[in-house]
Amino acid sequence: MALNNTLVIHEAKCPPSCVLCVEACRRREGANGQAVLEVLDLPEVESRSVATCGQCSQPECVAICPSGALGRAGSGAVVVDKKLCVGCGLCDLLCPYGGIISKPEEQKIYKCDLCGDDPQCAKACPNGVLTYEKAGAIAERLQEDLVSPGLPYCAGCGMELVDRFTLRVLGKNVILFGAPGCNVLGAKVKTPYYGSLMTNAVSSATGVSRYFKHTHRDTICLAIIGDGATADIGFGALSAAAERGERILYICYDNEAYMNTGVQRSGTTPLGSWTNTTQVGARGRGKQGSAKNVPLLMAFHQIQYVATATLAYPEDYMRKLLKAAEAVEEGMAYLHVLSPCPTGWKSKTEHTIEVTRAAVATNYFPLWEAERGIIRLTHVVQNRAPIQEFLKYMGRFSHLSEVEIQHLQEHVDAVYHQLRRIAVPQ
Amino acid sequence: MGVSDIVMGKVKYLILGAGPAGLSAAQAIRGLDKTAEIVLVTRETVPPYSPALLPYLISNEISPNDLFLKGKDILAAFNLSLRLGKEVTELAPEKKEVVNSDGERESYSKLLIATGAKPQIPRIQKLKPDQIHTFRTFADYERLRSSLGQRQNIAIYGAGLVAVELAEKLCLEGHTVTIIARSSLLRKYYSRLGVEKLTRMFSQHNGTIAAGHTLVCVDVQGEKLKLELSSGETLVVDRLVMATGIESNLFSNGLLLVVEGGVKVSRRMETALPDIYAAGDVAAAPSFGDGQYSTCPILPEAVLQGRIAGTNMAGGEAEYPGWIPANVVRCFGNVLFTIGAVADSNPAYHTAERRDDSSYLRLVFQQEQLVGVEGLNVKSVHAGVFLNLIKERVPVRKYEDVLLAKPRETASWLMLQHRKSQAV
Repeated sequence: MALNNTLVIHEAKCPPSCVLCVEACRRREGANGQAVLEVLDLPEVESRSVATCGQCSQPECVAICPSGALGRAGSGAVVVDKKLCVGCGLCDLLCPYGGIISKPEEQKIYKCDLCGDDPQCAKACPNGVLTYEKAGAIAERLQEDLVSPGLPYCAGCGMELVDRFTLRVLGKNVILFGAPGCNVLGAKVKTPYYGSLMTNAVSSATGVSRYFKHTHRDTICLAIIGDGATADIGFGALSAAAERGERILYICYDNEAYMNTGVQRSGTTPLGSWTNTTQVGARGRGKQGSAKNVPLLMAFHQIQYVATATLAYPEDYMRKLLKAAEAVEEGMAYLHVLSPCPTGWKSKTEHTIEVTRAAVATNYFPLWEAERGIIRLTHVVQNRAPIQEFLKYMGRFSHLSEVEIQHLQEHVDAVYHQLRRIAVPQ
Repeated sequence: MGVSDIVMGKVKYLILGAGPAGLSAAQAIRGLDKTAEIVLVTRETVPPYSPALLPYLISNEISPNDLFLKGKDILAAFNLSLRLGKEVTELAPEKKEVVNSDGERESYSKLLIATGAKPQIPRIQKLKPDQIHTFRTFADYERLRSSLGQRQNIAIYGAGLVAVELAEKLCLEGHTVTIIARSSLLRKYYSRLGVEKLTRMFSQHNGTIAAGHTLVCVDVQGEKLKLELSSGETLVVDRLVMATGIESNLFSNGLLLVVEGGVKVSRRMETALPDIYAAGDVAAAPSFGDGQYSTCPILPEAVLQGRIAGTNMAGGEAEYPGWIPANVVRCFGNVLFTIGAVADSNPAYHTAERRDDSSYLRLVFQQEQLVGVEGLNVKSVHAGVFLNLIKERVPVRKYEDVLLAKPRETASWLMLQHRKSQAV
């Protein structure tokens, strides 16, 4: 049965001359009086702690052991079979943590096996330096997923990844602002959540961020809002907050329509796209106008930081999130993230990442950032792919004729070239 | 390897040699490719084993059965095929095939040359191959074992690690052993204090070191051998074991670039020929210190090179950081370890040392980093922590004094601090 617990050595603050753990280790049954835990007594660097086997997930000692004496027990701990050990010492020559106790005179090595599942050292420590804790809880603390499991989103939802990734990067010290839409998170996140209306998420965030400034609190006011509330219904308030330079980190997850209410066109719905309010039939040919370029509009507000990002470029997205987190100490930061919706885009759930990669490769969604209005491309596509490479993934474009596709291609190219002209040279 | 190969499930990884490098590569490949065929070919006729254990067979600390346990487990657990008793003699890269001494051809999608090395026998007057023993393979062990009677007089020509380990085990079994050293014992690895100590211990166990001698001539004298040394001295012994170094098992009929005696490989363990890799004692890879290409025939590098070669062969991405020479010798209760740049007298190095009657510790720094460590009988110190401080280029120079005074604790503390600084 694999163990669920792990030995934790907390900060190096053992009291001077305390060796209770080592003595307990020595007294173990079958220990032969040999402790496999060692004290690191270094008052010279103000440190007093203990060291033992790190129970590595990829143990070099096991890989090198010529006889196979070192291996993994059913519990998951790395253990030594004394019958096979000849004391060659190769394990001790590779272990980075000093977990191997060599006894050349006995021609054997000793090492920690977590006493089965009940380490005596942790029981004997009165100072909280050595504890035996649930590994899952520690992993959670170190790499906390701030979004709950079991979310009721569609399979392949791009927005779910936006939420998890953003919160993983920014961490717990945020207040999340949401508007009606797919992304009403409420009970589903482990951060405070303030649900507002579509008109005023950024107004609510303004009030809270002004209060935090007054009380010298560095918690980030983070809004993750859809394109409907951002580009249309809440644009007035967003523009005003940007003009005032409010300390808000605003992320628009753009799935290019009002999806939660059944796929209705929004200001960011692209030219030619089917939606339930831009129908395709005897007369309708999908949306007839082009989309509003919201991130460019936000850049022209000269706010602290603006960037576009998407799911196929996580390192780039992470870098931009970190830059935004820094920028929001001074003023407003706005990120526009292309976020596929397989339901509304009529694409396969397993193509969510590919679609965003194709969006960048066709220059449909160029990646750039702007600091106080100075625009710089962060990813330059050398030979852009034809727009068909993006359209092919989605049923919302399947009605387009050759002429209409050509139209869309020209439009994408024109928008891109306009961006190139106003961006600083590479 | 074409897409069609993968689609048809016809990918075949061929590994020449079933030693530690080959087995390590096979495990890495299997970790990335669950269904491909992985075939190991060896000219030996026994299951895979680690040659590092052979001396322990002499002293009966391990049985032949136990020797093959790990190899058999790995073959089964990782679903590997093994061809025994086949020696590959020819490489046909245009056809992606190898040919063995029976004329059989074996194809490959990716090939790993992990054929290791064989003992190097110097030219000695009148010496006939059947008069000597070597100690590199299980077959060597069996031949030596079956020829050993009780309390024999054995000469070992060579004073490297193999010679010293074998000599110790033979002494412990009650034989009288003479090590004929061309210069001094373990000259490449240890300083004079260590050598003196070892020499004394050997003499307490029926061992003699004849230092500074070359073996000039080997003659037969009845059932025994008469050895003539360069000093004019003669030795009459029952058995002679050659332990004068190794040379790579090359066979590529000039197709592969050989550097410093080994097949030259990149940091991805690739040779110059497409889809052909090399790892282990046969490979000349770049060093950690200065990137010079050379073989580093020690077990830790064989295992690491094998793992990196296998990972890259199976479509993963791994880069070799470079070899660091590292050895640990246990001899009559003494423990000597040496890691990295200990022998060089480079003016850029700064050395710090601490010694007493029975032990010493030598640290070699280059600017802020540790580049070499040597220790004799340093109580409870963990050599591996030092090796990893070197590998990860941890800046430790400012703790030189504490490192010398409390090497075990300080090295561990430095490693843990370094790990903390790496945590995201």
